[in-house]
Amino acid sequence: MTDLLELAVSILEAGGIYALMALAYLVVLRPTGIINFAVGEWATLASFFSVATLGWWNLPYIPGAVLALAGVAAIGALTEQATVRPMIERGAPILTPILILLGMVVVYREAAALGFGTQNLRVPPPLGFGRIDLGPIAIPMQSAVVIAVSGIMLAGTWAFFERTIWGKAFQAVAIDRVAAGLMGINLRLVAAFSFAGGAAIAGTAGVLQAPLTSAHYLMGLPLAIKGFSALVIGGVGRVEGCILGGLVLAACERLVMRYAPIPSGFAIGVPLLLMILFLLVRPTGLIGARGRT
Amino acid sequence: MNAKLAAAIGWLAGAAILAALSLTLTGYHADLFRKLLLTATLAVGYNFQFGFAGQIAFSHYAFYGIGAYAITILSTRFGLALPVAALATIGLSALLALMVAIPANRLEGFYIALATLAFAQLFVVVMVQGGDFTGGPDGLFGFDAPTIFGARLAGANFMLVVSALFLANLALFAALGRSWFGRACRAVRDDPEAAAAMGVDVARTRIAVFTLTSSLAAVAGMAYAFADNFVNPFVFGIDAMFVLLFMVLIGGAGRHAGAVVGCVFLFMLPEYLGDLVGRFHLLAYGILMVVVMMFLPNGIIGLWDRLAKRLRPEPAR
Amino acid sequence: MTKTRLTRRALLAGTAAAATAATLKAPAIAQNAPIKIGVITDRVANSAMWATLMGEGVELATKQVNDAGGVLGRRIELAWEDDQDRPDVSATRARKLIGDGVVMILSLSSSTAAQQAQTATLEGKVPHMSPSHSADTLTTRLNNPYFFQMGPLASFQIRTLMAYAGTRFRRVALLTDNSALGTVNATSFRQGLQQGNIQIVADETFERGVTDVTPALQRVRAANPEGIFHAGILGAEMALFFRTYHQMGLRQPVLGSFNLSIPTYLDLVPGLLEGVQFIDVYDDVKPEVVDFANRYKAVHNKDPFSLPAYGYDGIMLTVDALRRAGAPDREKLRDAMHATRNYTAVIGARGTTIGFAPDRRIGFPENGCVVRTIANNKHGHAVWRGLAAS
Repeated sequence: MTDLLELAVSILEAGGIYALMALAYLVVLRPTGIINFAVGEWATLASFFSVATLGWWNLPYIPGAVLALAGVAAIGALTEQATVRPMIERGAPILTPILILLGMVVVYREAAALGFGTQNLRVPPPLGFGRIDLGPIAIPMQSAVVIAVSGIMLAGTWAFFERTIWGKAFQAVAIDRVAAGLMGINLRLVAAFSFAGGAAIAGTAGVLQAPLTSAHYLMGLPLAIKGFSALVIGGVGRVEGCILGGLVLAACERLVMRYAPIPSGFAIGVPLLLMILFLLVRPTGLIGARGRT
Repeated sequence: MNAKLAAAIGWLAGAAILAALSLTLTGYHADLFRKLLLTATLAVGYNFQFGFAGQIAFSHYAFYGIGAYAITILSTRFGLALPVAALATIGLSALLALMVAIPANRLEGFYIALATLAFAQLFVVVMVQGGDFTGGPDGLFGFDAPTIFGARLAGANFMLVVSALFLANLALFAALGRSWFGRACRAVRDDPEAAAAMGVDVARTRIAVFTLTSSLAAVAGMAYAFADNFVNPFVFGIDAMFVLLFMVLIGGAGRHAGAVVGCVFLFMLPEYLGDLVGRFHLLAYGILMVVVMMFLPNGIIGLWDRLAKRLRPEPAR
Repeated sequence: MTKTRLTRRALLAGTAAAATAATLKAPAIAQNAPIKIGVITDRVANSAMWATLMGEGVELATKQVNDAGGVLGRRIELAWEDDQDRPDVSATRARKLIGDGVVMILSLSSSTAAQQAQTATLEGKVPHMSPSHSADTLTTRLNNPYFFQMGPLASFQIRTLMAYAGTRFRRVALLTDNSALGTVNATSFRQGLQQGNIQIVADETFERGVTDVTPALQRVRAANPEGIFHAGILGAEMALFFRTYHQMGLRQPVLGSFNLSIPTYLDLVPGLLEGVQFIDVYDDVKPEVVDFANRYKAVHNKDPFSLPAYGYDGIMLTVDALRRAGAPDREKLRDAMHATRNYTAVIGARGTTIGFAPDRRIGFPENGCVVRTIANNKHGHAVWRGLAAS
């Protein structure tokens, strides 16, 4: 029983991180159609920025974390301005910005390594590493923070898309770019905001994860791959899909790791195998996209 | 007629130069030469898969690894004669490629990327965890260079084989690219529905391209196993796969010469740039990648075309 | 047919380059030309973390030797190569160094890279040393008479830990990560434990980049071991393990490989390492270690630890062998390396020495590991040199 409760917490926590990474893809993908593999590096950069704001400059947690996220959001928006927008305006195929952002993965990663070194660095947690005693189990404080913050972030993004005029604008762009432009939606602003938002969301995942592990310049790729998997499992297009995909992926990994009677080295491969099988059975994900043919 | 003659002379000259290099290079340069040619062989095939047929798959290096591991295990562990082991390896990798291709055909665009990415990661996990059978993280080595028809497949002999393999791949894909099949591939890449309307069997074309290019990657992998007589799982990882993609892009996707040029360029870059700027060479490479993608959408070969056009405008045919 | 034309041009350029290289090949070594030692490091990938620190020791030793007038009347010159942690590139770079006329190659990158680089040093007949690697397989799988391994084998590490633990444990958990070195170390640990008739009741591998290790540690907890042996080497995953271990309230003593001798962990998970027992080769009361520490501090203004010491010893042992060889000749150097006996290095427990018996290519003494513990978030002195004492 204790095990199952702990696993539930663990699934919510890891699922939250995966869902945030998936959401970072989605927020960029929805209005621009760009699958951006640099989200992992955004998480890395935000982790390093939080080392600076929280660890070196000793800012209080909230301003420090917000500053780190603002930093990475600015980088996201600047990247859009400098590399993606010229391509879109030139009418390049959508693959071009996707591949440029793949190149940016290397640029971000190496810039991070040059700025912060190749050593692992400690990232301070917001509320320490205590435990909240809840009868049958004690939830680690940082897990609670991860679950709460990712939950709020996911709910907030859902509300933004579904309940605000701005979110509707994103939605309109996703459905028909040209029509949306004609309707007076500022496509440039939408694109810039989507990159800044995606960067801040991926950065949140990084800042939440790094206190448990560390900030390291190679931490991005695994996060990017998990997030992409969660995105596809859930079904590209909706926030609910990110949440579901993250939770399903996390549950699958953890249950296999905990209960599958195979050597744990091979157990690492089982979610990969399941992923391939899943894609074959349900290539459009658990929740279908909306507004796409 | 003239064009055909020029082409034939071009191929012969290329073959002669590769043969001359194979017979003269030693040590470091020989090692660089054979590993470069093997990577170029991979790049030419990947260019067909990605550049011609538009499949964004991340399994090319995994098939390279499957070829390398399969031939090593079959010939050293099961003691099969090299030609038998080679045939068995080709059969096995074609089968595996087909097993990935048929279901992956149902997937669009980036879903194929994810499925093949998972496949590639799975391959490395299994090789690392495979214990004595796969040699674990150390891999398989300590075996001797094989002998075929009395010739030891090492040194100049090996480089001649690799040169022949490279030229054969280049010739095959160049011919395929010009053929009906190549046009069908491009039609499927650009607009599957229009291609189907034109009478192209989209599914079959996709499966055929993936199986062919992946099997040829495995053939290159068979040769790689004897470059150092050493097979290691980490050589076939995701990082190498991204570099291969960058090679094709920087050279000019969809152009055979582009794949070769991009491969030579990115392969040699760390060899020279590393000495000059040390740790910065990867940053330089990333920036270069972004800049080329932004300003040279057709890659280095596109730039070359433009220059050539400006220097000597060819008369209209 | 621009395609073919271009290919040909590229190849022609290649021929030209190769021809130039060929004419440059025969080196006319002046009497006082420096002696070249090749160093293969990783500047950009997974092994950069420790390769960089070992490189500090390499630089320190080289400067020390050169300041004292060099060796055999010549200066030492280092030729650095970055293999990016890729085994195939490592072999290529080793061939480059061999062509450049180095008398010795030190491999600081990953052990798999050192393994593939051996194919080049075996073919090129050039002495090749791994100063730090623990992989038992480095000398067992290729019969390369030019290769020397100076680091503490994983099998020595587990034997030391087991001797130290005595009969305290009959049932243990074995943890590692899926990095190359983590997997290889765990294989040696597993064998050692099995040979010692210690039952491994939980055998868990952490995936690189994992975001939480609760399920693996639940399996450990359910198996109820008496101790936890950790063979992993990845920083973030190690930090995560210690966090989760404490958060799940596990109490079993943790015994670690030489990886835990890296002080980074004291910064990453401060306070969570209390009581951890780990293998080290850095016996900080040894006179040689004190001398090394002072030299290192003078340059870097911080306390050194095992990693820079491996690099330092790698150069110092090479210089010692060069002196005995009497000439910067590869064959003579190899013979001199094999003639190394009772060499007191920085690494190794007090009273133990490095030596390569004629048929032995492992220099580290079986009794050379010490066990240290962490208290007050500091590495304590060696608490145990049992194998060295016996």
